[in-house]
Amino acid sequence: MAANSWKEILDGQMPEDWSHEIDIFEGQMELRRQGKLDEKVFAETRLRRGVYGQRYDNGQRHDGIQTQTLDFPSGDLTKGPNTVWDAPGMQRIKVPFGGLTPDQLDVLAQLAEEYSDHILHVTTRQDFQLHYVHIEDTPDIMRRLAAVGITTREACGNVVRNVTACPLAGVCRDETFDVSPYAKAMTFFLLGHDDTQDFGRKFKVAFSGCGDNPCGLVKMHDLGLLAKTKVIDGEEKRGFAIYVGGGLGAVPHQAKLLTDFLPEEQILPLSQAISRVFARLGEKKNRNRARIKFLVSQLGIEQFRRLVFEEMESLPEDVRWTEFIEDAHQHVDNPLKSGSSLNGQTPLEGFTEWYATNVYHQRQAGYHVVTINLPLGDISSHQAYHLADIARKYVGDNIRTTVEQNIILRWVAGEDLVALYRELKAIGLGEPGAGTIVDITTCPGTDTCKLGIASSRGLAGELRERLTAKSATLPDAIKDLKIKISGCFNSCGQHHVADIGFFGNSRRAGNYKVPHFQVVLGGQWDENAASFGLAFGAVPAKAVPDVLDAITERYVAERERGERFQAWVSRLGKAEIRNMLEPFMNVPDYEVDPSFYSDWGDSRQFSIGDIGVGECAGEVVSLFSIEIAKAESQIFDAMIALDEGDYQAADESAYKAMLLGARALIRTQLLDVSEDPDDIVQEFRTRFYDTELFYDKFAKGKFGRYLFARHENPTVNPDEDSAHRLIEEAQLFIESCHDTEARVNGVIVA
Amino acid sequence: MSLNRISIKYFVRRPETIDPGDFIPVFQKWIQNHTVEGLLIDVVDYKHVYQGPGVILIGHEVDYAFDLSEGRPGLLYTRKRALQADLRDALHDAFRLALIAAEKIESDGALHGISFDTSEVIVSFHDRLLAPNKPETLDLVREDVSVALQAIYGDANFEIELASDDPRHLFSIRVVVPKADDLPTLIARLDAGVPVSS
Ligand code: SF4
Repeated sequence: MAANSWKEILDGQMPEDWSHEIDIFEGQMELRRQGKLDEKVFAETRLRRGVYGQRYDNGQRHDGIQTQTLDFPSGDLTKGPNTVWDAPGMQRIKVPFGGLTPDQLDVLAQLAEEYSDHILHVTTRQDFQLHYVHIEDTPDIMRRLAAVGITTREACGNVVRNVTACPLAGVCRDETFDVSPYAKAMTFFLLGHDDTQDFGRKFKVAFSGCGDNPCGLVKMHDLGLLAKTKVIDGEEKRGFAIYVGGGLGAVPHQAKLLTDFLPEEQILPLSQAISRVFARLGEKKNRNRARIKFLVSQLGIEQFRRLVFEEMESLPEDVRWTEFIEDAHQHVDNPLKSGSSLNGQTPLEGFTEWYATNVYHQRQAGYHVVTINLPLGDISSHQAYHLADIARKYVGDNIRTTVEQNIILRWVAGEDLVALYRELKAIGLGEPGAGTIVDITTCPGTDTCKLGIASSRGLAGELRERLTAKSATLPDAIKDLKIKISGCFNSCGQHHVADIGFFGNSRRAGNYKVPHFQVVLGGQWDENAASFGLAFGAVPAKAVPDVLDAITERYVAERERGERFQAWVSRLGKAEIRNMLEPFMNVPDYEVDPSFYSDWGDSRQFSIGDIGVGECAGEVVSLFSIEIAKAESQIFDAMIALDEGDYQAADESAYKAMLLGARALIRTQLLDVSEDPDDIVQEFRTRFYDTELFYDKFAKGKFGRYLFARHENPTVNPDEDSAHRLIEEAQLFIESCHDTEARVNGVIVA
Repeated sequence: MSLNRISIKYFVRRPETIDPGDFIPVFQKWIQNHTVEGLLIDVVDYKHVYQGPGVILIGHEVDYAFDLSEGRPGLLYTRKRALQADLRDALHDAFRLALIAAEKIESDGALHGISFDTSEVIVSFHDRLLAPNKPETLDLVREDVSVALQAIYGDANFEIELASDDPRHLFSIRVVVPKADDLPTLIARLDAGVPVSS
């Protein structure tokens, strides 16, 4: 019979240091069980092993009627603050630059069957995630992964996360050079490095092979490296343009250019120097301001640059900085087959459509990249086994995950395309539409994320189904639009860089809460996520499909020849877009259409209220509704001003919108508040901020501080960037006013 | 032999008439009403995955799923924790709860007359360490499985075989019972019987 434990059976197959780290983690689990390790310390330890919390792990769940206590057998034992030991969690699995082999895919599938729910989920950072995993199973999961060369170390926590890179690196027709070996070198250089262990927040790194295409998204990363060459002393040298301080999150930041050319041998010491500066000067206490983007903003890019290059000068020499370079220059992929053409083969039904969207001609003649379009980033264990076999047959180890939550097979010979399509189709992986409007990116949302407000996956599933059903008749103009959805303002679904983005929130209608999505338009995915979209207003979740139809139909009808979506959005103007959305913003009464009161893919009522509305409360609610509407229209003025290039006016309007929002809230308690900004801020601070009524469960008082910051330090000469940011902040502030009012007036149960 | 995870799948008749989405409110109701044993946590919708796990009611000890894998929809009962130490008892318990769940589904008006075929069942052991997918493992568990099946199917003849010969797959056995009784009869027989290991 088999051995007694995976540890025993895999002994000698795992890298020694990885095996040792897993043993240590197992030891820490035992200490925690015995109460000898503090829950906060254990939580960070666990996160650094990729073992993440999941929705309902505080032991409570609203079942649509009432909140149920989930009585896990572990009782009071926790694996972090407010996190029950026995509650199912998520295991994130790092896949550096998305590179994967068939053997690794097999093991991932096996783990999904034994410890999870038979699903492998591909994330927007090219990772895999397993959900509903019990913490006791995680050491064996890690061992089985380590035995095939995969680590979960630093997949979560305040560390360097999975290093991503263009999935086409090495085969792309536009790239400057293949960035894969550089991404790999940086992954393992920074993994567990002493200088990356003391960050206040996570740190994300991305590589891109060129400046024009979106695959690497370097401008929305903490550290982005964009491949470049430069002739120095008559010799062509490889290097990178370096970007720092980018990020999405609640308020997106475009990365700043640190240097436009850094020679290849300096990228590792530079990353180390940045890590040191970030660890030394980055915010540690307030996690909402702890990403490196805030440090870059606070110091200014010049000062940040000076500190980093000074730090670099002082670093002790490390052979690893350069020892990978020779290999990087010699690195080539190993195709399994000889390149060939497709000519002469009888196409199967559906092949032409699939070929048009899912096949990319590599720079190397006779070879192709095939994209497997995964619905919502999910692949079943059965599909994964089959896919591993297909890869072994056609491409060998040349598999990668993508930031659009798909999987690609590289180095497919032309003559194999028809047979490959047939085999993919047989296992449900031959869907066309990769990279098109049906290929929607989404974060986990309320399915599993603790912070989710609305069901991003439910909405994505619904839109995908509807768009797929009419894909044959979709106008060409909209086929390539990008839709990206997040379950809350945190932007893990990357809604800021989509043509059409949505992020979840909720609104009150009568005595109920109704799932809504903010509509974000005009973000730019191209040029490495070059610009961010703006939110135009919240619509009920159930109205989103109609909103999407309205937007796309109007774009098709009114676009000028060759006009891109982003250009059309800006030509149409904010007022007109708002007009277009307004008819969809109304929520029908519950008695008229109760479907609006539950979310996509979830039959539970989104929330119910044990209302008990007194006269006073009724009036106050009504007053609040009127006053908050003023704040919303003020924010809209700010957007118009931004559009017109009047940054001063945009800045002032955004500030006024926050004051109006704060005043609306204050007037639920004190009707006689003046309109003097000092009075409003003072009253707001004492009544809502100091009392923590204006606290978001996870963002804490962050949104309130947006008002204080602008009130105390008026922007001097606002520019586009600062005005845009203040508008974003004001929108979040107003969202928070809605939440606070609903909470304070006690009518919301969920 | 002690195994940590066991699943049991009964297939539905006329699967083309069933909308997997109908299981979402049914499973949510099970959580609200504590319809089945154990701690029930959440409902997950994977019906967008081709022949995937369908709709799953996630629990602490047990998951229930309207599973679509291999294109053969059915109720998949997966015991993941707190199994009986003895394999016969564990199987007996797992079959009992799987059948009870199947009966509740059959009697749920929201599922429009769905019915299960009791003449075929797949039993899987989600533990490659103790139960790799090979004929020797079948030899090891055959007797325990047979005893558990007799407690359910009585004197009816049944055949047992490996469900897949792919060593990567879960160790799964297919049981075919040509003359199987319906669900209520099977449950009544199980309830009337004594624990199989005694
Ligand atoms: S965007 Fe919000 S809901 Fe989505 S994964 Fe991030 S935190 Fe969770």
